[in-house]
Amino acid sequence: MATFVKLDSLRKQYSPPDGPYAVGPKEGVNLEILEGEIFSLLGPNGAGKTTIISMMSGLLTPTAGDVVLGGFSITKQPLDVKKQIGVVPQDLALYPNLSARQNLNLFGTLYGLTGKNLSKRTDEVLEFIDLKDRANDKISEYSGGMKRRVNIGVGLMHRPKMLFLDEPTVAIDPQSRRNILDTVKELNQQGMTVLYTTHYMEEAQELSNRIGIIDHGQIIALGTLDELVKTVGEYDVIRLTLPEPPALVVERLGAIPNIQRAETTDGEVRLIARDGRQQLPEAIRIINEAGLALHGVEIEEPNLEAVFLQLTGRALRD
Amino acid sequence: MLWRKIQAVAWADIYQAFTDRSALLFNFASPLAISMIIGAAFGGGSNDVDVEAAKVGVLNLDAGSAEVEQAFGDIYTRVLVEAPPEELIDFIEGKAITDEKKARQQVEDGDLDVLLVIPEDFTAKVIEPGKGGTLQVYYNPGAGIPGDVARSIIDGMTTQINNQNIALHVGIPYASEQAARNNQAIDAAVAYVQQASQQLREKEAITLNRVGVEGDVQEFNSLQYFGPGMAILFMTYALSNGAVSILVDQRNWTMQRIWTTPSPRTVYLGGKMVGVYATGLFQMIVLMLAMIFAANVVFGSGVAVWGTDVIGIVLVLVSVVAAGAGFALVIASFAKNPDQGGSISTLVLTVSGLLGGAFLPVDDVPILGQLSKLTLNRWGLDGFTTLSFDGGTVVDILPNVAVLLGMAVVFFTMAVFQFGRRFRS
Repeated sequence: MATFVKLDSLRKQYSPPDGPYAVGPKEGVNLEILEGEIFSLLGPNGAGKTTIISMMSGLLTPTAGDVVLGGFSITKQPLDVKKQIGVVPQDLALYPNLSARQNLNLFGTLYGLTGKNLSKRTDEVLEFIDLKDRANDKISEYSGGMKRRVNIGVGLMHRPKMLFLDEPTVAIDPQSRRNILDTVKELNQQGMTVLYTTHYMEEAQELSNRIGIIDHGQIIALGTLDELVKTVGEYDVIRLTLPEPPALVVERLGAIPNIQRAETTDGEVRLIARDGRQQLPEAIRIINEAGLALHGVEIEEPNLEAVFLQLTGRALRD
Repeated sequence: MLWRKIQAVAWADIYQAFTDRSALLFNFASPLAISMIIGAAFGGGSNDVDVEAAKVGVLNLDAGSAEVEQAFGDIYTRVLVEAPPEELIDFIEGKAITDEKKARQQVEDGDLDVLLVIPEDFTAKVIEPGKGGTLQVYYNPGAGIPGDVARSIIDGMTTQINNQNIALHVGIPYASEQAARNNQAIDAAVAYVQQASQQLREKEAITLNRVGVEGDVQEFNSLQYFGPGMAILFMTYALSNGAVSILVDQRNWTMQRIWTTPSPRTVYLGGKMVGVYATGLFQMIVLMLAMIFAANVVFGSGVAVWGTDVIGIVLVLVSVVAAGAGFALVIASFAKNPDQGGSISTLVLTVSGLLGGAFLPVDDVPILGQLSKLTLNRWGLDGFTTLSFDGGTVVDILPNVAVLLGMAVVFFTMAVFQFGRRFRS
């Protein structure tokens, strides 16, 4: 697949009162997104995902570097870049007192559609997001999931080549979440390149062709799911439900051969272990010796969370 | 295409403004109700409204007479021009006239409310029994209260001089002569004086010949003051809602989303400005029509709430809305968030309304009268009242229009600069 987007030494330096902090290392973020793929940017809240999307969509001016999208530079030809992208922000960026149809018409006009093309495309999008029956109701009267669907629909009005979705499943019910994930897959099957940011690793795992893990404004790992998992080797995550474990016990657990690290979070001890099932009996023996009550045990095969834990020393949702 | 996009952004604002029921109630029903209540409370001809000094021109050609020490024409000149009594100072602004033709044109143009022409043989004819002098009083029927005041003063003076003339010609000489002869004749003298006075009253020495120059007689109604005052005040409130919606858009990310479309950023701000302006203009037009209708229902026909000079009304309307839109945008541009924008706007616009005379005239209140000139409310209100109960024309409101448009230019420039600064990425 050909490269569709190239981030070249992209960096944003914030000054007081918003900063000081930077998104991107000193040398800037370098990244390529291929045409027709779903690329996920996975990272905790505040990692810099939205800043990168904002720079890519022309909302923020990069302090350094550039984004070339579909052959156009965002710093030099921003309007040409914007013609090729649809942006679905994290917030419900809709006018609540307008209907879905009115919102779609408004943004369609701003994307350059007029007359019959506009009304025809509005109907198509309403059909796609399955809201034709409620098209003339005010957005304020919709459920959270319906609003999210309109939020996506607005970004599709001009048939963009690439769609940016910034945490589109935050604070919605499981059914609506499922609907959105299926929509993203369907759009991708139609040939649309997708940049998807999330802090839910399951979503990144399910959707992505490739994943970039971002933390503190830097992309710390990049590749397919398999490639990333391989970076943590054969390590499993053993979760021991153990209220208030003494530090000495945690230290002993960490000292078990083939256990790379032991750490505690809210009533839980997590062990990063090579071949976790083999190490489990020894871990339970140490806990029993300490006279502690073990409430539960869970072993996770290598996944993105383990990758993140391995790379940063903390869980993705911490 | 750009204009189409600007229209789309503006339309979204206008549509939302006029489909919000609570906003409609506040923006339309409130000013209408308040104006009608105040108008009904004061009724027509309220004295609570400030009355401007009457501009009176006096052309004194009176040559006097050897029989009297002072020409009667000089009395008019002294009272109306040279040394008005203290109680008249606030009501009269007199000036001596030398060119009658030019002065009559000034009356026609509204630069003079009343012109008094005293002929050369005035005193001579007044003191000659049976003849009587005639004063020409030119007035503009559209001059409203100031013109009425000036004519009343001239009427009063004329009555006094007529009475003095009776005493001069009949009472004092005859009574003195009879009293010198014998006391018994006094009763007969008094009877004679009464009879002669009655005859002289029937043919007064001075006749006022009133000449209306042009225009229709205008009835003053309190609604002519409070109607525009309330309409402008509530128009600025509605405009502030539109301006603060920029901050709401920023919070809700609709503004940023618009910026991700292939449209220059000016499209958004331009659309917002057009939307704010159109909202204010539409609200004012609806209120103006509603007040005309309501005034005729409540007070009967003939109350020209906004005056009759359509071009003048349109000029004041478009300029006061422009100034209001600019002012609302400036306030919003400095607010940190929509809540702060709403609170500050309400406070500033209410104070501006108070200072500008929306609730009570403040022209003659020390300091406030001067401060009011800093408000768009004052200039807009003054423009509308000049057209209504002052019976002014386009020429009379040009200074108001110029000041309001000047304010609009300054405010819009400030708002564009400040929004540009805060949205710089």
